[in-house]
Amino acid sequence: MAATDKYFNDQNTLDIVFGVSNILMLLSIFWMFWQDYNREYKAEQRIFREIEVEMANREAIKSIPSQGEFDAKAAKVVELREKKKSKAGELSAAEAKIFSLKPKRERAEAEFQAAKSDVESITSFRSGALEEKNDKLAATYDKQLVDLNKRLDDAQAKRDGIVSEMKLEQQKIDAIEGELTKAVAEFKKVNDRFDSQVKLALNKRWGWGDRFRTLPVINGFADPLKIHQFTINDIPIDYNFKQVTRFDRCMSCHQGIEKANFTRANLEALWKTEDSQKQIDEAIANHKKRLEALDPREHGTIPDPSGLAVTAISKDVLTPARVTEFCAHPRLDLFVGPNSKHPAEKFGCTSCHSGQGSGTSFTDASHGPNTLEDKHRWAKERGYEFNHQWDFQMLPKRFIESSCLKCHHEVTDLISRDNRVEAPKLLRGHTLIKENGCFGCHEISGWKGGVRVGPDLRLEPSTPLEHMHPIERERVVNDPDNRPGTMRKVGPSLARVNEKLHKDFIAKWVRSPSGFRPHTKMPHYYGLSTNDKSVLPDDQKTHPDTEIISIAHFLSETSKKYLDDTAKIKGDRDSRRKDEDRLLELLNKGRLIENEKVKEQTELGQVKDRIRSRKEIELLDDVMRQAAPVLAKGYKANGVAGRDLFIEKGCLACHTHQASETSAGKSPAIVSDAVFGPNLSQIAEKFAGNENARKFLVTWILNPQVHNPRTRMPVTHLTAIEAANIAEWLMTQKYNRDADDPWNKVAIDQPKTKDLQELARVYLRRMLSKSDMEKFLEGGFKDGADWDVVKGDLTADEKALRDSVKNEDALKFYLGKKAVTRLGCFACHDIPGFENTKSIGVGLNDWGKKPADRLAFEDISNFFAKHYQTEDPHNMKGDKEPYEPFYAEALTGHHRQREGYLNQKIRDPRSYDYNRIRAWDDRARMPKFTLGRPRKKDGEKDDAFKARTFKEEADAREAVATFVLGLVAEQVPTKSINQPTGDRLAEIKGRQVLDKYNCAGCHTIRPGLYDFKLGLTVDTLENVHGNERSEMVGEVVHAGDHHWTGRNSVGGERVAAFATQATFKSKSKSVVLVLSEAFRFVGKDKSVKNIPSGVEIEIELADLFDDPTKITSQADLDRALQTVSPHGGTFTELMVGWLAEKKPDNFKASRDRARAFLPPPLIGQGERTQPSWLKQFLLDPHKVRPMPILRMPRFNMSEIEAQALVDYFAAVAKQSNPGIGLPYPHESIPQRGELSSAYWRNKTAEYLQHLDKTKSRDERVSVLTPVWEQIQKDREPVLTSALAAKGKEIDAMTEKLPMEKDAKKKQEMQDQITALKEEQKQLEVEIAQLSVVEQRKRWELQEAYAVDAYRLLMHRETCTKCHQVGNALAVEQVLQGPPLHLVAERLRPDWVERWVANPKRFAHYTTMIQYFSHAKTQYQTHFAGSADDQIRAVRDALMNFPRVSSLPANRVPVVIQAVPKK
Amino acid sequence: MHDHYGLSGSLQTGIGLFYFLVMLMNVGFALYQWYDRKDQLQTIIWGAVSAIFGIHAVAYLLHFGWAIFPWLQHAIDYAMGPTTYFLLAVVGFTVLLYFRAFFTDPVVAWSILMITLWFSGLAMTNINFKDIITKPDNVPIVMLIFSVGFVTWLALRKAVINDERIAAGQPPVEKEMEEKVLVWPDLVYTELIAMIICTLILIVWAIVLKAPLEQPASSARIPNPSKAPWYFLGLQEMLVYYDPWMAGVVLPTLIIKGLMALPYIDFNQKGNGYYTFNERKFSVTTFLFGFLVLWCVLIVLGTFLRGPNWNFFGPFEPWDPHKNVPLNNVNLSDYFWLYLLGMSTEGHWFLRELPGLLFVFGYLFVLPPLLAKTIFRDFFIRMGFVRYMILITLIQFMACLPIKMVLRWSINLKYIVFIPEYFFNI
Repeated sequence: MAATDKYFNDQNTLDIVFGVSNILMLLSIFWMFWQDYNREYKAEQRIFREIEVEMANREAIKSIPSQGEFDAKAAKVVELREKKKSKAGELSAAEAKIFSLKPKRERAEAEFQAAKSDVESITSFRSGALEEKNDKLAATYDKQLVDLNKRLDDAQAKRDGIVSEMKLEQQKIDAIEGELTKAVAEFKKVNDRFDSQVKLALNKRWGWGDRFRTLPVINGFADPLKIHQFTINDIPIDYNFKQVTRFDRCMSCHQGIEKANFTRANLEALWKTEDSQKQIDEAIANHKKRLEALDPREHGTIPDPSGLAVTAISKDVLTPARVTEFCAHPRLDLFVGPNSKHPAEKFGCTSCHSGQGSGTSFTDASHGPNTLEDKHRWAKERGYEFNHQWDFQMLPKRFIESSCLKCHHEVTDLISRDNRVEAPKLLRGHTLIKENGCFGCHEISGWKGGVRVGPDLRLEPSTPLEHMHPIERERVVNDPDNRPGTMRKVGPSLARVNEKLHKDFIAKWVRSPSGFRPHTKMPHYYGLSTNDKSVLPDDQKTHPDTEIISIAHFLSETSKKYLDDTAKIKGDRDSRRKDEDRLLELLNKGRLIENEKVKEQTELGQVKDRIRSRKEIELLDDVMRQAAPVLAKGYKANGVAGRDLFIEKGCLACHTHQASETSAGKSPAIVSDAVFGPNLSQIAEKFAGNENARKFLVTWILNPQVHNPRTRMPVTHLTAIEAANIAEWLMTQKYNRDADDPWNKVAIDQPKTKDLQELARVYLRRMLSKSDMEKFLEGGFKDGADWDVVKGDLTADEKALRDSVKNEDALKFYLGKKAVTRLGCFACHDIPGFENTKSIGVGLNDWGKKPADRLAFEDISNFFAKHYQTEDPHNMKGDKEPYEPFYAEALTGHHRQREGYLNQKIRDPRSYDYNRIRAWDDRARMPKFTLGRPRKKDGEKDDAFKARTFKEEADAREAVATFVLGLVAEQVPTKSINQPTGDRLAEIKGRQVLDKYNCAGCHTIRPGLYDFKLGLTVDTLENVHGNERSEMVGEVVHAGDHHWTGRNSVGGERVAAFATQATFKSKSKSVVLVLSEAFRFVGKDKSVKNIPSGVEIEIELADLFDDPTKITSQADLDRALQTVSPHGGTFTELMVGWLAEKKPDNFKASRDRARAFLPPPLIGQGERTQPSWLKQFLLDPHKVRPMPILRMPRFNMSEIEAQALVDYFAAVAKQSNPGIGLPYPHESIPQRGELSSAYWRNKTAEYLQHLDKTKSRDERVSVLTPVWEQIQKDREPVLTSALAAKGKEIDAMTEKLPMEKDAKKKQEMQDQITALKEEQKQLEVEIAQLSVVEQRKRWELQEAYAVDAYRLLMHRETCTKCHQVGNALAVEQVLQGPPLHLVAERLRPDWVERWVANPKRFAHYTTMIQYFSHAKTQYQTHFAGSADDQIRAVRDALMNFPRVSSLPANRVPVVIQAVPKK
Repeated sequence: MHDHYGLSGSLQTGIGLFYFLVMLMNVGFALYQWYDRKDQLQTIIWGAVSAIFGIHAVAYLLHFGWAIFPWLQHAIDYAMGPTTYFLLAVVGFTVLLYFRAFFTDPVVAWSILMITLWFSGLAMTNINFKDIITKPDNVPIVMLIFSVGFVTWLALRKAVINDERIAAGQPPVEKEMEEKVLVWPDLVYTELIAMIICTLILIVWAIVLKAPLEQPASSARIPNPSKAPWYFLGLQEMLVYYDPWMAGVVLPTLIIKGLMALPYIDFNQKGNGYYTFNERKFSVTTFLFGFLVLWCVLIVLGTFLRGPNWNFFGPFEPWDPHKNVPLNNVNLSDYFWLYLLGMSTEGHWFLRELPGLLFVFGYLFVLPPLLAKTIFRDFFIRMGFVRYMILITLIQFMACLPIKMVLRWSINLKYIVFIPEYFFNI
């Protein structure tokens, strides 16, 4: 075609296309702007603006001063103004005076200044003249200066006179006007609050400028709506290879998070208006009018509140979801707030909550729904989807506490200083993991490359630190890469299992532990979803029973062998020493040469074993010697007494027993919930079949360490007879099993040889070819060439089995060992031969971060469909187990999550093997644990109990999951980690030891912390305060001690009380607290008041709880206060009731009296006892108090642990009671010293002064003179005869001396004579000192104070009434306190002083009374002085008891009687 | 795995809208047939097709839609595998070229498009299919399928028309316009419009499918599957068959070098400035085979059908990361020594790999002269030695991939030459 001018395309069409595409382009650009304008956070911020303005409006209106307040303050102003008016004359006179004085002062001032400048001028001239050596001229100036100085002085005097006159007048004016000014200021303050609120409210409102800047497109330049971002470098996001800065933009939407008044209630209040606009307008107008009526000078600017409108915000705008979005973070004192421990600027949001901090949309932020319902709602309302772009989805609320672990590695540091449990779920998880021994199989190490990254719950070394040789211990402790763990195995040692159990029982127990003992910690290994007979293929059906029988056989045989081996090694002294030397040698070698030879290592092990065995045998021998009489044939123990002993001696602090729960004879019922030790109800049944069981039980009770060196059961100081009685009772109590109890149905088939062989093939198959395996099982292998071929592939177990493979027992032993190895029984039990076996579970160090796609969910969906129904756990209907929707979704939903996996893994650990083809030894090995241990309540229906059990189990599971999810092993920079030091660290570490030995079983360790509004309670408090104040008149108050003066409240309307008991009073709808610390509150008159400790206060329920109607019983109260109630003392609480019931007469007056017979609370223990004594006591407790029915047992505690406890108590005392200035670790006790020391001499001098003042010195002397005479009379003859004897000796020596030839011997004799002469001199001095004059001199110098203090102490009506002192028994025999001669070593002097001043302050139940009171003057004949002096005298006498009591004057008992009565 | 997710309401609405749009397309096509082509029969057919799509649209919009039949899903999943997929692609390619006259008929092409769209809509009812197709990352690939399809069709159609003209002795269409230079305003104006529309599409795309907010890549967590950018997925597929040095270095280099060398290799003067197939059978076929089959088809394979662990998944199969597919592949040396001669393969690598090395040597150095003597005799004569050798080597390397694929599928061959001692495998 030829070229033409025609266009190829139709231009018209192109124009249209061009036009349309341009329009579309424009529209798309608008769309883009619109999208930007509507970005989620911008929309939210716009809404928040409205809410903020409304909130500010309401605050402003709320702050309109009430008429009363306004009138009161205004009236005061008016009144004072009137007063001013009435003194108008005086005022104007003064003002006139000042007015008239003013010119005079000015003139005088001018004169003074003139004189002053003249003086200065002439002085400078004089200096010039002197410099030019013109003395004459200088002299002239001097003369002038004399006159001038006089003039200056006069002028000054005149001026000062006038000034002071004016001041005087001014004072007069101030006296009249000052009060008025103050009142005006006060008045102004009332209005200022409103004023500033109004200003704030107006400020929050948007002007047209703001509105303009937010318009679409324009907002691209200076939008008032902005992304709020924190840049957090302190806690970066850990990507293993890189630490990435955290950018948290959460506050872009959560705008109210830091604003304290944005509470949920306040926000919800915005939905409606309580007052109509008209009322508000009226109120504002009224206030305005009030102000306008006043003199404008007095109220400053009148705020212009016009336009303050209150409008309800529609629920469509402020949806409930937005209330959540905008409301303030809970506990701003702890989180987010700038003054909290976790300020948002430093911690951001995602370091705790996780989620995508950079996201500014709901989905991008990776929110985590707490329930499935939430998720669906979010999806509907916000288009929420699971954000798979982000690994760390926001933690659902239920797991939020797991984040605490990131920085709080000790876990126990989550209990705050004031004993608030800040992360109860996490702590429960921690406890459950420690209780159930998860760390036995799963490493929870918390160390990464020598850096701490999480909690450390590793097992202790196989030889515990305290049993190691010091050389070895040092090496182990100082190994930076592998620090020793501290956890003990949770199960009993099985080394000696043969002594107590029969093989058959072991087998049955392994098959069904909870069938036997429903609340046992031992998990189920058999009868589970992978190995129940019903699900096993035919060729494996006999495996479980075969394995169980083999395990029982193996354990029994191993134990037998262990016992035999141990018994053999006794050895004489030589072989012992040889072993010890060899140990040292080998250890030293090990240190020098890193690669110890195998042979030497084996030998080391053997030597250690021998040493250990000897110790064990010695201990056993010792215990057996004690127990021999009661173990003799024919000995009849008293089971009835055994019951009371079992109850009284503290067994119930850790154990429970069904038989104690019903009364028997005179012994009332007692129900313990203790789960620290096993439930002993079934113990008789358990030991049946083993003839040695009684022997075992008696020796175990006497000293459990005989059978398990690492047991946490303490030595309870029982006599053999007592132990025998308890054993007798335990062995005769039958456990009530229902006819349909599952235990009755537990039957294990004895395996046939074929079954054993079949199971053996499971293991052998992996090492041998099929034909070799059969040959092996036939016993076809003997030493020879064919054996040499295969033996390299076999382990020691198979080699040992070879020759006895036809023997059933040998096969069982082999299979048992294999099973124990595979199932990891040694994780909880000590089993000989498994000391160094590696744990079998997956490490949990960073499990919390494990990506879900690395988890093998396997065929869980089908398992789920077959076994569970998605249901609320409360609904137990249907034949399948209910499953919480949240977890169902997380386990089987579109996006499977680790939470779902974990929950199911704990719930049914073997279920992941469902529908999978696995070899017998290749299946999931984790056993099924029962974590919750609820008890059936009286009258609870079966269904209700079942539902509750289910719920508690689910809660426990979630607690464990919370802990595990917190194990993320993130290297948080050190500065952000909570690194407690000093006292706080001691407190945290101490708590771990307290938990380890269940100290809280008997002792109350921490007081409860109850915080409440003052509200209604203030009246009752005022009342108590009034009563107490009148009672305290006579009391010696110790300022700064929190037993008398309370701590300041944190602030706000709430106050906090520390108390040991909280009792519900249904009648008055209140709670009665027994204060363990003084309580401080601000009374109605705005003054600070203290109620001392030991006093009961009553709190209105309404002030303690938001919803008091929910509390209708003590049980409700306990539940509601669970996290804040006192920690520990459960056993004591139980026993108070039991004793009161058993001996009603003794405790008629007060049940609390019973507490004196029971373990004491340990609140304030640190200020009470001396550290060195306490440590010794913890390691080896001796009997202190005669009253209690049980003694502190001796725990299996290391010295380090004892020290940790001592540190703990001191640390707690220092922190909770800083006013007393507790010295720790070193305390000097000035009293403890010779009486010639400065302390005693000063005291004596002071005391004599006092005696002189009261003119009673002579009286004292006259009383003492006969005593001194008596002493002289008694001592003189003795000393004189001694003197004479010495003289004779010297004479004899002197005679012999010249006859001695040997120079050396001569010298010796000479020395002897000199020494004798010295002694002679000494005696002479002593005789001289015996004279009455000398004695009196000494009395006046250093003894007067001590003698009288001692007399006061020994007064039959005070201390010695109830306390034994030395050999002097107490008057009172029943209510006896601890012997006083122990005080000097045991107690701290300051505490003794405070205690004697008022014992009730420390223990409200104590039987000791307050003897020394300011209100009375008493005991002056014994010790003259005030109550304070007397208390200190008692303290001093006690603290230096050995010296004071051995004073000659005090040794003569006549002293006390000889005091004449006044 | 995810089957318990039924047909959600929003999905049905989406599919309904999709069918509605397809219906509109058909209405348009029918109108085109009526007004432009005046073809009554076609109008009736496409009117009926519109009605069918209309019914679909209504059903899905009212949420009464049906899911794709499970048997069909399973059948497709079952039949699918890398082998079948690739073979189908090759067969389809061959058929397309052979019957190009048929396929380039607009009605046929439209029918194929409609069948594809109908099936796509139906297939979307499967959650796995839907997930993978609608993944924002994969949108370009979906566009690629249709755009490449269209462009190929267009080129072929023009070629077929020209071929017919040439056969009839007429010049190609393009020759008729030879003297025109359509720059202003035609080209410039069109380009401007294209620019605007392109921008428009990008803006809308950016608004509708927002870029995700992702986290920094973590060395500790490699995504599974780890995929190359979509345009390199063809290369990644080669990694299944070849060592990285081969698939990642040698072959890509040769692709680039080869493309650069093309103008110098090409000796055919025909086909300049106009579409033709018949006059350039070898070049067009080779290029299309390389681009369509060895590049685009493999991109689609890599995008939609390769899942976790680089396993092959049918279009309806859930991506189960635990799926375990055995790879019992055997090296050539094992075949030769172990199975053929019954000898141990232990020994010096050179001896062991001698058969493989000989094979490679033969392929690279013996085959070209043989071909020059036989099939490519004509080429050899016309191109001369150097150009011939370059061409044949490039073709040989291009053929590497299908050859290795066939060997893998047919005899489970792992490597022809396997020298782990020097990390050298072919």
